[in-house]
Amino acid sequence: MNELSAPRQFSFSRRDFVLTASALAGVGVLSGCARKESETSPEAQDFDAVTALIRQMFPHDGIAQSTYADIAVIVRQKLNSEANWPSLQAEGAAAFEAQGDWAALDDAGRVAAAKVISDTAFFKTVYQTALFEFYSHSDVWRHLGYPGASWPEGGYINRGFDDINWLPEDPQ
Amino acid sequence: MTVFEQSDDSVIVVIGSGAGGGVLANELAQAGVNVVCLEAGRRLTFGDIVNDERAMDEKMTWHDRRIGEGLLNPYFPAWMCKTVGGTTMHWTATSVRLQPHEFRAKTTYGIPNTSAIDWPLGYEELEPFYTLAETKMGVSGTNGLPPLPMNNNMKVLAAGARRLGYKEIKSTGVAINSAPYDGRPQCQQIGFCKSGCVIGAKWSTLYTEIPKAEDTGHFELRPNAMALNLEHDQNGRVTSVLYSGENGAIQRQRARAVCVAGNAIETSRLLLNSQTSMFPDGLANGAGQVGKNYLKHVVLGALGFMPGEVNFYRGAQQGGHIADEQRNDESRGFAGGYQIESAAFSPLSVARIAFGGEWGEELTSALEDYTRIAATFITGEDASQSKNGVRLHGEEKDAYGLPVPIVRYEDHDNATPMRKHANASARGLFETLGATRVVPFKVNMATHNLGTCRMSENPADGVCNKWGRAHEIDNLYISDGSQFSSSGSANPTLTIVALAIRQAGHIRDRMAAGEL
Repeated sequence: MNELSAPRQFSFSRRDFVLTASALAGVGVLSGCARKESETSPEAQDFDAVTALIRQMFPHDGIAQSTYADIAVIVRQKLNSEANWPSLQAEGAAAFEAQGDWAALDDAGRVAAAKVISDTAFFKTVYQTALFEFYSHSDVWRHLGYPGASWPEGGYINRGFDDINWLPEDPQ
Repeated sequence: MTVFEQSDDSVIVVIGSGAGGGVLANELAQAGVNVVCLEAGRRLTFGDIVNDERAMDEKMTWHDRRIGEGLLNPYFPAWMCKTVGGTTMHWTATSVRLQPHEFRAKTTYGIPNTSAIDWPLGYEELEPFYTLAETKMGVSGTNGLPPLPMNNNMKVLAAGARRLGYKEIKSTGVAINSAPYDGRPQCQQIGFCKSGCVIGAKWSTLYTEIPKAEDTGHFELRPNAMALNLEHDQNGRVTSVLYSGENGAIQRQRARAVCVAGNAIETSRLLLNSQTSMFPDGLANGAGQVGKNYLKHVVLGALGFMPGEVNFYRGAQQGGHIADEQRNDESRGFAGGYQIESAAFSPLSVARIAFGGEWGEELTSALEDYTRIAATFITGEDASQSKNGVRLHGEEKDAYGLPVPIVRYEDHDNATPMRKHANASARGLFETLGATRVVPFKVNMATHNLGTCRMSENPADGVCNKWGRAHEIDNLYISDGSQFSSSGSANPTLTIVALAIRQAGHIRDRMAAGEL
């Protein structure tokens, strides 16, 4: 089951484009990890559309919601330094609102809604940044089976660089 | 450490420290010629090199503003480095000679709508320098070095290739030490060579040519030195280089001769930006050829989702290639040939390059199978077109105050049938082994930037002669891949190195004859 699919209410604030903490409409607040995070990071209390979009952009079953929330924090920090980000956020808020109650949508509904939003500059900006952050994250690497830098382990010369064992025999 | 005065006009100034500039500078210094090498980027040590693509991208890649036009993704117009060692830091070390017929692109192919010319030199003339280059670089399969052991990804390609009837399946022709060589260790199959080799098993000028040149006492490297302008005297000979030095201060280095090796985009930008009353369109540009005929190879990447684990991240990133399709055979429906190479991609590169712009399950379902991916990267002959090239933006300036370069590239008609054929070959290789899915890359990036200051027999057709000397300026040399008259199908670095060794000999001869 998609962890996002539990119904709940929420509303957007155009000012900062985050959901109110009381609405608890976030990906982040659904997981224990994120709850723990919220005790230390005020930003993580407020699930926002960036997090929601990252989940829609890169839906991997088995990657913890805390990882998504972690990546969303990094993405928001990067985007906050861009001059046009406030106006893009406003555009994004409007695009989300036009899709109705996000929390009430099922998986298919969210995919369809994200497809509509994908035409916005907001979506594209989040995508460009989130793509880098998501597939550079060590949790994501581990999930996909890429262990990261091999040199600390001495490379693969003695660790299976040529261990493939399923190739068929050559034709005669 | 040797230091030359900026007023010393007996030095040869080499701009760039990569495959062209680093080799040329060392070859001259070994012969006792004094060289100042200006490098725009900083000097890394082995301690700076980590086996992490993204961290090294930030340390090494040229990220200054550029504008891509035509088929070039504006975020990714060219893949080159801004660091001592240049692209020899991130290259994947495939070192294959151009074929004799590839030096005769116009005569051999005879296709329409191309500005192709023949090189003003032939394979035979370059052959001894190829041998010297292979010795210098420690190319596998030469100089007593064994082939590089095949890693999993190359084994997939090789098995598929044998089933398709291909014969020329090689893990020779790689400038990665298959055994200890030249004081550098054997490859430890670390993977993602593009990040720079942590142990120096891959040839790079950073830890070969540059320190060797420094040991001669005839060489000074100036990192963080971005060339801005070339200056000349009233006779039209180059006299000095203006550059932005440490802390951005403008410096002027006098020179006996100047050799430009900044990679095709920067080399042509520097010449175009050096406009004077005598050379109103920039230096060496009397024929209007500077920045024209930009070549980047017809490229195609493909992922095969295999029935078992490949773990293609393990081992040399590009540890071999298949040469059968490099022949020129018009019965295939296109001119020139292509090379099929083993290649591995990080999760980020799979997402960005293979599936560029995609999101949702389309993307993630593929990445879920990351460990089952095998991959190939194909480079093919690129037909010259004068409309492909580099020009200066009219208003926009970069942080150095230099006009931002606009790089334009469009496919030639020959590319479509070649890419279709190459795609079928890649698909065949993977499917004959049971691949469940084959995905051609959405983004076909530029990795080999060539041809913007090409060699030509006729001065009206190009920028420099067969020695790389500018047709219209006696002491100005082009010393990188910009010289290429055509692209050929193989990776260019070995040819750049061979040309640099040859050019160094020519410069020494001219100095001995009192001409320089």
